[in-house]
Formats: sequence, C-alpha cells, structure tokens
Amino acid sequence: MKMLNIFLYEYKHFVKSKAKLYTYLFFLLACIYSIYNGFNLQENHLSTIENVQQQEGENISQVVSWFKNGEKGPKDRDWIDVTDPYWAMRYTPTYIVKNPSLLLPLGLGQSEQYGYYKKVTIWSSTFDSDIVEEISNYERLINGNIDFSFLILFLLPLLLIILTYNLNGLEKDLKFDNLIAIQTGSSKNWLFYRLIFYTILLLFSVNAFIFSVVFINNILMTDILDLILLSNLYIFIFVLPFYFIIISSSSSTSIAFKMISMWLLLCVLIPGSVHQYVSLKYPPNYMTDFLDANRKDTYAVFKLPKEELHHLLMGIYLDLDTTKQGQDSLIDRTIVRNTMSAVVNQININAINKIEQQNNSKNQLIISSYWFNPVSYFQNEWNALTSTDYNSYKDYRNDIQYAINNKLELLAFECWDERKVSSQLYDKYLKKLKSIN
Amino acid sequence: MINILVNEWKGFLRNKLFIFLSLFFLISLCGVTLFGIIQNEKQVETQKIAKEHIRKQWDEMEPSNPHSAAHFGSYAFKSTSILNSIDEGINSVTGNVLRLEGHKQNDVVFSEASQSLLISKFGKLKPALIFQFIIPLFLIFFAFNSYTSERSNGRLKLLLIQGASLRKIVFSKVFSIWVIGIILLITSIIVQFIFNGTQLSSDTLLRLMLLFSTYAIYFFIIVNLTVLLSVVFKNSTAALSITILIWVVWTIFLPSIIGKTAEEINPLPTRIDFKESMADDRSKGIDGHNPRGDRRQALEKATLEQYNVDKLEDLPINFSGILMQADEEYGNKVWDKHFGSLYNQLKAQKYIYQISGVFNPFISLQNLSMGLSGTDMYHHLDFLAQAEKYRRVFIKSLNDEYAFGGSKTGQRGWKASNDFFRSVKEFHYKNPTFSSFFSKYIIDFLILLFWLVILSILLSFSSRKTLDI
Amino acid sequence: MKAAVLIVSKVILRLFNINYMIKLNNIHKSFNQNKALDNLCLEVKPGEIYGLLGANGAGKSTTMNLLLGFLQADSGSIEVFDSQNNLNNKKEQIGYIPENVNLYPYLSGLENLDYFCKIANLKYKTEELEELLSECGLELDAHNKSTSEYSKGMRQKVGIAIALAKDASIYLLDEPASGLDPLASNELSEILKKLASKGATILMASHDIFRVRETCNKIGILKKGKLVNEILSKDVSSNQLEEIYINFMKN
Repeated sequence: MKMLNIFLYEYKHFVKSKAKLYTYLFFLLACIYSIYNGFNLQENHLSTIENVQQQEGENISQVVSWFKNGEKGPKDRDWIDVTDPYWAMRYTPTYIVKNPSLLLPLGLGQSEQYGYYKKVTIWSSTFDSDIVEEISNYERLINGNIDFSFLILFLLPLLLIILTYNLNGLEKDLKFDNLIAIQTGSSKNWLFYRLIFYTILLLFSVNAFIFSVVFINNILMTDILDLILLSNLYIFIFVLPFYFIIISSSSSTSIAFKMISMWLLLCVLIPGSVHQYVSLKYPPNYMTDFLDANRKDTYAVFKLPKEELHHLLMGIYLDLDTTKQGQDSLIDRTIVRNTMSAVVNQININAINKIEQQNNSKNQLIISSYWFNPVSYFQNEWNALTSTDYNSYKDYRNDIQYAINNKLELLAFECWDERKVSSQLYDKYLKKLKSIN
Repeated sequence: MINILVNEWKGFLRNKLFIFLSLFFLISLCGVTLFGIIQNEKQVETQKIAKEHIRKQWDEMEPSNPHSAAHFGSYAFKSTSILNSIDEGINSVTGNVLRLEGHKQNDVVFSEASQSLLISKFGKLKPALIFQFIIPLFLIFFAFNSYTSERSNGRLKLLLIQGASLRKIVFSKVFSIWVIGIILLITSIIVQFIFNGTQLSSDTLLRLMLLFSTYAIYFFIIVNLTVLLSVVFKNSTAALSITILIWVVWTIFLPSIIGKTAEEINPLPTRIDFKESMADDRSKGIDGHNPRGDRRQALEKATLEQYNVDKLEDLPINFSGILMQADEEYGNKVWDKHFGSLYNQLKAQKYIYQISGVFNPFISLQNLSMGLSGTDMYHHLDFLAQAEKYRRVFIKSLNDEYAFGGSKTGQRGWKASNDFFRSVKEFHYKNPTFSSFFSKYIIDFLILLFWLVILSILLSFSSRKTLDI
Repeated sequence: MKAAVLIVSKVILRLFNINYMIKLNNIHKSFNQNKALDNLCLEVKPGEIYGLLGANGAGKSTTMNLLLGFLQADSGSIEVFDSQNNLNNKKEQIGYIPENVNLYPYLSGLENLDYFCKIANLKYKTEELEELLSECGLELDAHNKSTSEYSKGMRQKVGIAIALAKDASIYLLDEPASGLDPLASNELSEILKKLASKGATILMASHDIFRVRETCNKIGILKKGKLVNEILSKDVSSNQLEEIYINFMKN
C-alpha cells in the first residue's frame, strides 16, 4: 500500500520535473533511432549478401552455359578448359557469408571491424585482405555507433543519474529531509521505493524495445531471454551503488558528483586502463608470421620441384595414393602444380594458428579483467548474443577455413584422378562445395 | 580581480576533496602519460622488427625475374607518430599493414581492433581520454559549486557591497578554476618532455604547443559555460542538470550522431561494389598477362615504331617490361579515379563533421587533438598516399629493370641480380609537418575561438544584468 | 528489564498523579570536545506549551534533534509518552515543524500535504486535507498553486498542516516564528493554543522572548546546555522576562 503510494507520487515527481521527463523522452527517441539504425544495417548486410550470392550464381551459370554449349571457357583465353577439374573449380569461387543475426538491430558490436562475405578460391586464406571491414570513415568508427547496446550500456546509467540524483538531494538541499524522516519513520525504505520506481521505468522501457525487435524479426522468446537477463542485470549494477550513494550523501551536487564519478570509473577509466595495459602487453600484431607464409614461404613452394610437391601433397592427403596420379610412376607436373595450393594452405593454417593463439591469449587477459571491469564483460556478452563479437567472427573464419579445406581436397582428388568434368559432375562439385552452408 | 583569484585559491587549498582529487589527477596523468610513451615505444619497436624482417627477405632475394619480384612485393607498415602517446586517434581501428605489389593496390589490413574482444568504447587510457572526458567534468563540478555556494550563503551580496563588480567576481571564478585545468595540462606536457625529450623535433614542439592551447581554450569554454548557466539559472539543481546534460550531449551523443549523418549525406560504396567498379575500369586497360587485346597491339606497334624495328624479338629491350609498366600506369589512373572520389567523399564527411563544431565545441577539440597528434584521417590518408607513391616508384623500377636491364623480348627466364634488388630503396614514411596540414584545421581553431568569445560575451552580459541575486 | 521500568514509571506517575509527556533526565551530549548539553533535565506536561529560550548554541536544536531521534544522547534518558501514558519513543506520534518549511517546489500545497501524509501511511480524503489547510490559515485559492510561488508563511502553514495531519500528541517546533510577519506569527500562536487546548503537548525552541511569552505556558531558559531557570509565563510580563533572560545570559 505504502509502496504503491510512493510509486504514484513518484510518477508525479517525475512528470513535473520537466528536465527529467524530457531527458527520458529524448532517451526513448534515441532508442528508436538506434534500433532503426540497426535494422538499416541488417538490411544493408542482407542486400550485400544477396548481391554477393547473385554474383556467385552468375559465375556458376557462366560455367554451366559453357558446358551446355560445348565450350571450354572464355573465347579469348583458349588455355582455359573447364572440363579439367582445376579450371572448373577456379571458375567457381565459393562465397562464404556471415548472415547477420536476427538480434543484430539490438547491437552492432564489432561488426564494423570485420568483413562478412568472402570469395573462397583455391588460394584463399582466412586473413586475406578481402575479409577486412567495409569501407568506412575511421573517425566515425572511433566515435562508435549509436546502437541499442551502446545506449543501454553507456547512456542508460547517465539517464539514471539524471533521474535520481536529487532523490534525497532535493530534500537535503532545501533542508526538509528531517521533516521527511519524521513522516516516514525510515527514510531508507522511502528512498528505496523511489529508486525502484525509476528502475522499473527503465527496465520496462528497455524490455519493451527488446520485445519490439522480437516481434519485427519474428524471434523466438527463448532466444531473447539471455539478452533480457543481461540488460536487466546490468541496470542493477548501477542501481545498487546508486542506492548507497543516495542514502549517504549530503546534497544533490554531492550525489551527482559521486554517481558521475562511478560512471566514469566503470565505463571509461577501467576499460581504458585495461585497454592500455593489454596493448602494452600485446602490441598490435603486424602479422609477420602470416606475411611470411603468404609471401616468402608461398614463393618457396612455387619453386619446389614436382617430386617434392608430389611428396608433400601425398603427406597432406594420405588417400591420394589410391588415385590415378598417385599410382602412376610418372609424375605429371601440371597436375601436381595445379593442386599445390593445398601445400600453401597448410603453411597458411600454421601461421594463422599462431596468430589466433596470440589473439586468444590477449582475449584471455581481457576476460581475466572482467571481475573488476564489468562493463567490458557486459559489452562482450551482449555482442556474443547478437553474434557480433570477436568469437563470432572467429567462428566465421573457421567456416571459411573449412570451405577452403573442402575445396582444396576436392580439387586434389579430382585432379589426381584425372577426371573429365561433365555438366553432371560439375553439379556434384557445386553441391559438395556448398556443403557447409 | 587578482585578490579574488588569490582568495579563491586559498579556499581551494583548504578543501580536502579538492586537494585529494587534484593530486589524484596529477599522479594519474603522470602515470598515463608515461604509459602512453612506453606503449608507443613498444609499438615502434615491434614495427621496426617487422620492417627489418621483411626487408631482410627482400635483400636476400635470389636472382629472379623482376616481374615476379613485383608480385613478391613489399610491405608498408603504418608508423606511429610520437604524439600517438597522447591521442591515439583512429590508429586502433585502421589497419597497420599494406602490401605493395605489382598490378594491384591493396587495402590496409590487420587493425588492432580486429585482433581481440572489445575492451573500451572510448579508447585507451591516454592523456587525451582524461583531458577530453574527465577533466571537463571535474571542472564543471568545481565551477558549479564555486559560484552557487557563494550565492546561496549570501557571500556574493557581501562582496558586491564591498564594491567588487559581479562581472569581476564571475570572471575571477572562471579564471581560478580554469587554472586547475592548465596546471594539469602543463604536468602532462612536462612528463612528455622528460621522457620523450630527445625525440622532440621542432614540428613536435609546435604540435605540443598547439595541443596545449587547444585544450586550454576548451577548458575555458567549459568553465565559462558552467558559470554562465549557474548565473542564469537561479535554481542551482537545474543549472547542474543542464550542464551535465550538455556535457553528455556534447561528448557522448553528438559525435556519433553527426558522424553517422555525415556518412549518410556523403555515402561510401560497399567494398564489393567499389572493387567491382574498379575491376570494371581496370579490365578496359591492358592486361599484362593476356597476350591478346587491342590496346596491347597498339602499344606493340608504337614501341616497334619507336625503335624502328619490325618484330618484337628485334627490339634492343624487353617488351614485356614496357607492357607491364603500361599496364601498371593504366591501373594507377584507375586507382586515382576511384580512390580519389572515395577520399573526396571521406573529406566531405570530415568537413561536415568539422562544421558541426558550431553546435558542439567538443568536436573541434577532438579533431584538433587527433590532428595535432598526427593520428587523424588526414594523416592516415597521407600515409596511404605516400605508400602508393612509393609503390609506383618501386614497381616502375622493377619494370624498368625488366625492360631495360639487359634482357630482350621473349627471354622469360632472364633474372635480375641480387645487387639490383638490394639497390631498390625501402619504403620510408616521412611524418608530415603540421604546417603542411594547417589549412585543414583552421576551421576547428576558429570554431573554438568563436565559442570562447561568444560565451565570454554572454557571461559578461548576464553578469551585468543579474542584479537580483 | 524494559517492561519493569515501564511498569514502575507508570505506577509512579499514577501515584503522584502527575503525568509527563516528555521527560529528559540528566542528558549529556558533546560534539567533539564541545558540550552541547550538560546534565539537562526537562519535563513537559500534557496540554502544556513549553518554550525553550536561549542564545545561539545554547543547545535548543540539539534538544529537538534528540527528541526527534536524529541524535543519540551520550548519557541520560529520554522518555516520550503517548496519550495513554505509555512510554513510546516512536516518531509516529510526534509532529514536527522545522524552522524553515521547504516543500517540493513543483507540487502544490495540497499535493505536498497529500504526499507527506501518504509517506507517513495516513489516509485522508482530499476534502479533509483541504479542510486541514484552511484550518491552518492557508487561503483556499492557494491550495492548488505550486509551492514555488508560496511565501515563507504560507509554507509554514502547510508545514503545520503536515504536523497536524499526524494527529500527534506531541508537537516539536524549532524556531517556528522566525521570518514570519507579525500577523502570520500571531496566527501561529493562535493555532498552537488551540492545539494545546485539545490536549496536545507542545515544545518550541525560540529566541523571540515576546512571542514565547505570548504563546507558552511555561518557559525554560537554556544556557550552555543547562536549564538555568523555568518561569510560568502568567507570572511575568514580557519586559520582566527579557530582564530575567538578559541577566542570566550576562552572568
């Protein structure tokens, strides 16, 4: 009963303080804007992906038409022969895409640091320059996106400060806190309920926005529970200390000062220090391992004699000895050289593993800071849920690597079996190459 | 006025919270500046190792065909400026490595931000972070308190009766608090000098001096605004909430919103479209690896005429080198066209962003801070331009060696010597001086000064009008 | 133990047929090294309006804050009784009017009163609250105006209404008349007298000798934390009271 009364009056307090009301409405507008932005980006991703897939389709139908017309390839390049598995596959790049999560409108995370479509050829690797981020304005990137997760993780605490810094502060500034204490018996309960009013207001608003995306994107309720839990928990990270600040401070200025200091500490200072420390310990990687693999070691492979390559390839694919070429005592230079990208791929994989390990230990360091750096934790958890964090893109890189391996293996066996590609066999290739998606 | 100022400071020095916070900021600024320098040095060291590693491979190249050397290529590493330790700017989101090779202009890859989970939204803890986000807030609280407490306990009336003008009192307040910011700025600069002193060129000194002035002006704007609002709003809580709201909108909200808007007004192509249209234009040129094509025939004809021979085999030079270079030059034109318009879009976006400083001096501060530290987009584009310029010279020297180095047309197996490869100059990024960029930042300076003047006039005006205190 | 004290005190009260609403026994209270209250003893009977006179720093506000429970005494005991003579130190039965009644500036007088009643768990209908405000002398057309437009006296009236709404048996007033114009101050006296006649016990701290003599039945003079004299106001004129007060202060 008492609680309900306090709530009803708090509503009055809230709507009669125009500054608070307008700030709150402004925040709601920002939320709508951010989600609209998120949907836009999702739309962009989808249409680019569609574009990419269309290109893939065009590539394929080009090859198919050659088969149909009994042609071997483009008219001005007579050395190309798509009935050879090597050329058939070279002319059929596989596109591996990362479809945006349905939750993407709620958090863009690190999606602007990475590419989300990749043309996989027989020379591809997962650190090629064609999976870097989209072309964008770097100065905008450092200011970040106004996405929903940013609003909740960084602006919502500030909103909470503006809504609550004069709870108890106003009474103390105007010196009628004694009168209140006489009326309430315990002003702690009274302040607690008042704070809870704003907490509920924010929880309600946040969840309403999350649900709106659920309805628009037709997401299952169960998929959204984690996000709701995470965002609601986050609000309490601030509400609890704020409660103690409110009951223990002597004026609204002092409350505001303490609350803002806490925000600065949690949202700016601690993450900033961890960031600085991490980059001290692990300076930006110039990826020399990968550069070596990509250049020096690859060139070394090019220079290898056919016997050596033959031997290396047999080492990679043990079953190659069952193929025609594997059983032939004469080594066919063209066949071996056409499939040598598998050797380069192995070198790339080794170099990439080293880099991924370094990144991994960097991430472990970041994760070990979570206990005193909660905002980064919530940020990365949130990004994981909208599959826009480092790990989601690592998974995507794994998908690409799988596609590369798949392609190279098929290439090796088909070339070594000295197959003649027909339109039916080509269809089979397509199915096999697409098996990941 | 000096009396009031001195008195203010006497008050500050007796305020424990003030002393505590100031010491805290002084010490953390020293630490942060120092760590910034160490981290920078470490990064420079890592880069040096990578650079030497790559160069060693080039120097050890066995005699080979210059054109395959062009495909082998080289790498340009994005170098860090000394003042990267103050403001990192865009360096953590741009790539760091650029592959330089024949026929092909690559993207800068491997940004630091893509190498780990997300850590901080507002960047590493560098002096810029403290000066842009934290000190202003600290100044706001002190400025706010300093004026309203004077008014609420009636001292203000007393001072006025003693003959001080309100304007004098108000400006003394502003100056006395502004001095706090200045002391912190000077501390950071002194630490820079002590630990970075040997590397400070005159350009760096100029940059440091301007950085100091920029932040000093911004602090003045912030203190001025706070005092202005507390003079105008009789209700002190209203004054405080509005000041904080302005801070949030300026520093947190508007930069992203305006950045996004600028990108919408001058949209950038998607990577795939950009590449496609570039490839489209490129395919209209000469393909060095395709023996057929009209343009190639024309070039053959022209070369034969120039040397007055009938067959390619009779040329005293190697036609393949000429062909590769022609192909290269066509590619360069395509690059200039496409990247030119891309960069123009980026510059147009930046311009909108800069102009928006009229609504938000924080943006001017941010632009200048990055620009002066050599870590903004203009400096990045300069790196890209220098790298591309080098790439052209580099590839041309290889093609020239191929064409005129002693081989004849058709001698595919001909190899240039290791000495030749060693003689090819390494890419060396020359940090541009600030004066060469100055014209691009004038607008930011002007906007900051505009804010300074306007707020001072408003404060002066409002403190004359406010008689009913 | 507590129960025993209660019974004994009740028995004693009945026995001597004196009952007190407020009783302070040998109170000591120091802030750092400064003695604010030094062995203070004070008794206030039901229906009495007791005025505490004293200079700034004599300990008036400390006494008030002890009774309100905002401070704890270093030693001595405080007894506050309810109308049934039960020892009851709860804040619920105390009405309090601070020196400077400030209210939520953006709410009206009526809304403020309503809010203060609600947080004290008191149930009133709007008409009853309006009646209360009128009773305390607040003009009808001011009821729904925002209190940011109120004068100090008008806020004071809302403050009194808040205290009255608690229907308390004890009212504590800290410098209630400071800053009020003579008319408002007079109205306040009348309201307090009316309350006392209905059986309420009132303790007010003040340094307005004239007002205290007009309003109170009994006057205590506080000096350096000690009660140095008690006078019945019917025994003295204002001038005499002033003389007595000044004499005490000088010695």
